Amino acid sequence: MTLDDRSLREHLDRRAVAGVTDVEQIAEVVMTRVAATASGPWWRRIGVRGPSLGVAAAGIAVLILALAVLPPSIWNGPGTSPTPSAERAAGYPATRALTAEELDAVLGSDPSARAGTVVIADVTLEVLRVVCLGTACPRYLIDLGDREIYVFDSDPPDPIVGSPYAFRVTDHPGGRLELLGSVRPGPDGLAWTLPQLTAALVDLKGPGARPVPYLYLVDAWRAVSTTQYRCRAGFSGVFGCGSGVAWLVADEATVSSNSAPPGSLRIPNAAGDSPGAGDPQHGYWLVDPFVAQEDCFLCPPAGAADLLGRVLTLDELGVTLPAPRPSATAGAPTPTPIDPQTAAVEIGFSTGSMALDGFETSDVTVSITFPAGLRPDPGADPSLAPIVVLERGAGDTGDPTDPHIPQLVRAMAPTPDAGQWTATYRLTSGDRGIWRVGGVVAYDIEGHELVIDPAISDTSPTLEVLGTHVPDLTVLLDPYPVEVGRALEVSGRVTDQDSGDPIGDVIVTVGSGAACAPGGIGTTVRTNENGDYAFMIPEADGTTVCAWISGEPGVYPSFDVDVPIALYAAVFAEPTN
Amino acid sequence: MEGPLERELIEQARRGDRAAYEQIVRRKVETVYRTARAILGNDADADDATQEALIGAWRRLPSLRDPDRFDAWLGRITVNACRMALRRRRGPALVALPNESAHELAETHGPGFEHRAVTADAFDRAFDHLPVEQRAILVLHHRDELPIAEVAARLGVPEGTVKSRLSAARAALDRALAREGLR
Repeated sequence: MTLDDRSLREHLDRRAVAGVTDVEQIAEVVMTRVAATASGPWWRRIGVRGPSLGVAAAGIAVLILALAVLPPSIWNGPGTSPTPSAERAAGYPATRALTAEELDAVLGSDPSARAGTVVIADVTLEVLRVVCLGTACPRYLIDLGDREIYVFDSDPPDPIVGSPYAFRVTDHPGGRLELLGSVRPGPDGLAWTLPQLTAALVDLKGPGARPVPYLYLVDAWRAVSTTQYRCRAGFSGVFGCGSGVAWLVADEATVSSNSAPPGSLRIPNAAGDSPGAGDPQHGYWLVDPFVAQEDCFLCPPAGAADLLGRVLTLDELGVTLPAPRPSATAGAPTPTPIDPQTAAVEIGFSTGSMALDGFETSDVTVSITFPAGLRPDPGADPSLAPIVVLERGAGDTGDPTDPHIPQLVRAMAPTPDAGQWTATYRLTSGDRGIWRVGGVVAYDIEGHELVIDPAISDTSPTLEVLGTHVPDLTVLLDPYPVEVGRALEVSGRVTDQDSGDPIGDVIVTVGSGAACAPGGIGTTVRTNENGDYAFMIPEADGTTVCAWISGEPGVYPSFDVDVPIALYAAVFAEPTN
Repeated sequence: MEGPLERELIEQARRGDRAAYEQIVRRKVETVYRTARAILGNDADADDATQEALIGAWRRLPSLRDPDRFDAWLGRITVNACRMALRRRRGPALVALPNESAHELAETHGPGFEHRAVTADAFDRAFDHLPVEQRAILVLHHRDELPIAEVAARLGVPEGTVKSRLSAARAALDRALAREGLR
């Protein structure tokens, strides 16, 4: 069936104008987010998936950024002030999220001891490449360099969330943290005063506002009414009548028995937990506000909010922070931004194209020559070596089943040539597409950051990888749903993507849990002449199961021996009884 | 764009002027959204892609060297945002679309098959089977009526590549429509 140009355009026009979205609302949301965001290089702000060096790049950027903008003293967290009030609203203390190191310290060696604790951290979440068929799945990874923190979530990654994130510590086998959501900072810091939040909620959550899945940290008192309200029809549930009707209020105040406190935010009725009725409690509360429901009893104008927990201070948690990392930039003068117009660099690939068939691999070297006066220091702290990011752009198939990583990150090494640094990548047929240098993070001899974005300024040459007969992998689980404690068969087939023919004698690695993240170690099996493989797990546990095509270092898989070529599918097994 | 006024706005926004960027957003949001809507086919993904594109553009603005190329630059970011929106929204599909040709299907199912009208639903299902890259190239060229050179600029590939990919995208759409015709 062939569609003529006119019909094609008509269909595309119909798709473009269909729907009910008000683009002005999108503009409002964009500008709200812009207001909380400084413009600047993108690689500081998004997660870089892939090899550990990618995380190192992000970590270095975050570390340097932190040194530049954060106060030198360790923050003791919110909640240290004894009297929340309107007086403090004016001189509100700056608050911030935990760093990755602080988050790790909170978890300690036994996260179960902290189970239920709510924390907010400014970290990079790497999305795990899993197909999760369960209800609570390991979705993300926080890479700390020498160890990882797994984060699970009941929902797929939300497209518009960003750091900082709120987590609940858990002893769930799928991860040490549960992602609660993204936290929207207040106008004066991470936390909002209650007057600030209630005033803003009309725009943020009111009728006509676009639902935005942000959480909010609010400095307030939790007040629970001592009155036993007589119920009328229509007021049932956690926001209904009865006992324990509760609000967040701005000041420690007496709660009226027959109306919502002025300026308050309704929260779920207390269910016998601390504090009890008549026992106001001050704290920094993590809330998820929403438009008041019809069955919200004694609801104030600002509406209601789910109360996700009280965020404790580090002092309250009794956390001992690790010693700060030594840094070459410690004590250095504040870096001066470099005009991007002057930060032009010469970028080159060792080849402009390569053809890879099946399991073939090939190395490519990218070189960057920095101009005199803007040269990184080869003798500086190795952690400050230039970082180069290769991006697969237009050549990316856009196929959501494509398991190959679209960004490759490397720390560069100096060469004998003045100002020239290089990095080498190993590519496979699965890396087919157009690659270019998408980012460079570097510092000159004086510690000034070089602001370079070759992908946008079009200074990068391209590398075209022509991949054919890319191996493909399927994964099946039997039984499914997986029954914890019983035998589980993991099976599948390796085929040629181009011909569909099965490929025999291929090493497939089957793993579970941490093995499903980059660098994981699993058990290997070989496919038979029909391309089929099977692996029996005697007793399935409650962790992720995954499989990928593996091979000999230097031959297959691709750029890193610890990065699978086709981490294809995984499930989270749950107890069936 | 890029008249003198808009060029000035872009320059101001590059220097961190949020008010200037807001004016740019209000001028561009409709175009970005319509392109994303055509590529992605639903409000939620188009909303997200539009937001991400405009936020991403703000973050990257300091590195934009040539304000006169703002539209092409923003278009490229939009296509990338569409790709990411689709990746986030969907888990990997387990069944790939067979690579059958329309001709083969027509032979199999007899004369008249090729002449059946393409309904909106069938078109959308078929179009949604295409990779984002192919959707984008069809939208940019056939809906936005951009010349090959401009499509190449927005996708960051040579013009020759655009031509070959355009042909491939049309062929892929035909195959997908043929499959829809079987239902």
